[in-house]
Amino acid sequence: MSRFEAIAEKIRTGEAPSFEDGLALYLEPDLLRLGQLANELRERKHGDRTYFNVNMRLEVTNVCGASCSFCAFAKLEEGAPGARTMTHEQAWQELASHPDAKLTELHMVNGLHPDLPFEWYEDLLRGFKRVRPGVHLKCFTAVEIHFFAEKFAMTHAQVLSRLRAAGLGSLPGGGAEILHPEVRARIAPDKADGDQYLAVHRAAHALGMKTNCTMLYGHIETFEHRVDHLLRLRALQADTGGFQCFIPLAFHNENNSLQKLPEPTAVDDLRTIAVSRLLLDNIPHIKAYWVSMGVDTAQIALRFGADDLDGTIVHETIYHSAGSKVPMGMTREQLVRLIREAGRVPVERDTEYGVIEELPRAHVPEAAMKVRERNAERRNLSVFSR
Amino acid sequence: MIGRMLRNALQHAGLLELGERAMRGEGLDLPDIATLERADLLLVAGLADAVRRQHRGDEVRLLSGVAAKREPDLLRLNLDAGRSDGPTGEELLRRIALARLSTPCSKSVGVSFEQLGLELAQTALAFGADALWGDLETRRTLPLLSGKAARRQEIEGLVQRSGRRVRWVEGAQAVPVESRS
Repeated sequence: MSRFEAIAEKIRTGEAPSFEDGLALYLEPDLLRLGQLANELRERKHGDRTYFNVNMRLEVTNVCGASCSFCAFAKLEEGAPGARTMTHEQAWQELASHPDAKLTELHMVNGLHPDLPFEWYEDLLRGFKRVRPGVHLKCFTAVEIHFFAEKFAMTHAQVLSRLRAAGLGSLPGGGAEILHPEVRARIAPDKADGDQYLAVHRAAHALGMKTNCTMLYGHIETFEHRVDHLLRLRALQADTGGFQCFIPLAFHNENNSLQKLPEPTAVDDLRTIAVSRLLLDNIPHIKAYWVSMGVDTAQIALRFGADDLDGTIVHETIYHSAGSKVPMGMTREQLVRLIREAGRVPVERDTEYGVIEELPRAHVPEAAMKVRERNAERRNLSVFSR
Repeated sequence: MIGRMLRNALQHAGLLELGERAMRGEGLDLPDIATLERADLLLVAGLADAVRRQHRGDEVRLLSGVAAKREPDLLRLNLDAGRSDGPTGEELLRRIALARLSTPCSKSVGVSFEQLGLELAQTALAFGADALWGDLETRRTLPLLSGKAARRQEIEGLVQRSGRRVRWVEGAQAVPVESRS
C-alpha cells in the first residue's frame, strides 16, 4: 500500500492525520487523486449539497495601527491619502439601502483604529439591529477582538459579551494569516499573535458563539507552516467544536509590500482546498471563497472538497485593494447557476448554516440527454479549430 | 498504467473496460464519450490525465506566434470561454478531458491561455491538456522585463508549479526551456 493510500485509509476510518500525513498530502504529485479523496469526504459529509448565502460586506474604517506586509487595504492613520472612517449614519445607511430583501448577513471587518472608543462599536451594532433587525451580524475578526481587549483593558470574554449584548451574532475567520510565529512575526508583527487569535475563538466558543477560521496562503510560508496552521485549528476544534467553516484565502500581491512574490496558482488553490478538507475533517464546512480564488476555480473547488461558495457580497474592498479582478459581487442567480452546473444541489443558508431554501438540482430531462448524446460528436468536433 | 484509486473508481462506475481501452490509446467512440459526459468530473479527468501521462509524458508544449497556428500534431481546442453566460469552468474542463480521450494519442491537446485565462489553463494541464498556446504580447509589462518576457516567465512558472516540464515551440523548432540561457 502506498503512503497516499495509507493516509486515505486513515482518513476514511476517522483516524486523526499527523503532521507528516498533512505534508505528504501537500506534496502528493497527483492533484486529481488528492481531489478525489477530498471529494469523497466532502460527499460523505454533505452529499451534493453546496451552500451559499445572501450577504454583504462592509468595512467601516480602513484606518489601522497594524502594518501587515500583505495588506493593501489598511491606511496607517486618519487623514492619510485613502484613509476613511464612516460615520454611524453612513454605515447604517449602507445596510438600510441594501437592495436585496433576502439579505441575511452583514459581514463587517475593520482596521484597528487607534482612537475610536469601545462604545462607538457598540452603538454601531445597535444601529445595525435597529435598521434591519433580522440580519445576522458577523463582525470583527479575532484580531479586532484582541485589539479591543488590550486597548480597553478587558478580557476577550468581556469584549465579546458586550458586543453580543449590542447585537453581535458570530465572528468571521479573518486575521489568522499563518499562525506559526516564524511567519507571523514577519508578515503581521504588530497584531494578535497565533495563540491570541486562537484564544479569542476559544473564548467565543465558550460563550456559545459560532465562528469561522481562515488561512492566508501563498506568500512566504512553506507547506510545513500550512500544515502546522491547519493542525492548530483542528486541535482547537477538537476541544470546542465551535468552528463552522474553514476558508483558505489566497494571497494577492498588488499594492502591498510583498509585490515581488508570485500569487498562488489555481493548482495551489485546489490543492489547498483538498488538503484542508482532509486535515480538518472535524470542521463541518470548507469554503471556496470566490473573491479570493476567482469564480472558475471556486466552482472547480466544489469537486476538490469545498461545499460552500460564500455569498453575494455586493461590495468587497479588501481583496480588490490587492488587485483582485473578480466582480465586486454576484447575484443569487449567478451563484445558483455555478453550483448547478457543477452537478451540485444549491442550498441557501443563513450564517449558522440553517437551511433557508434547498433548490432543485439542474434537471436534464431524458429526452434532452438523448439529443445531447446524438449531438455529442458534432459538439465535440465543434470545439476543435479547423 | 491505471493507479489503484482510479481503477477502483472506474470499476465502481462500471467504466473499467472503457478506461483500459483508453489507456491502450485506442481512442474512444461516440457512445463512450456520451457515457463520460455523464460521469463524475474527476473520474473523467483522472482517466484523461492517466492517458496523457502514459502517451504524452510530462512535457508541456508552449506555442506562440506562428507555431501555434502551424503545428501539425496539435489539436487546438477552441473553447467558448470568457462569457458570463457561457460554459462554466467545470464544463470547460470536462470538454478538455473528453477531447484528450477522443483524440489519437499521437496528437497534443492544447488550450489557449488567452481564451481560458492563466488559472484555468493551468488547471487544464491536470485534465488531459499537454500544450498551451496564445499570444505572448497582450498583457501588462513589469518594470524590468518586456511584456513578452514577463508573460513568458509567468506561463513557464505556472507549468513548472504544476510539476510539468516546459518546451517552448516558436516558429518551426522546439526549444526546451532548460536549454535557453
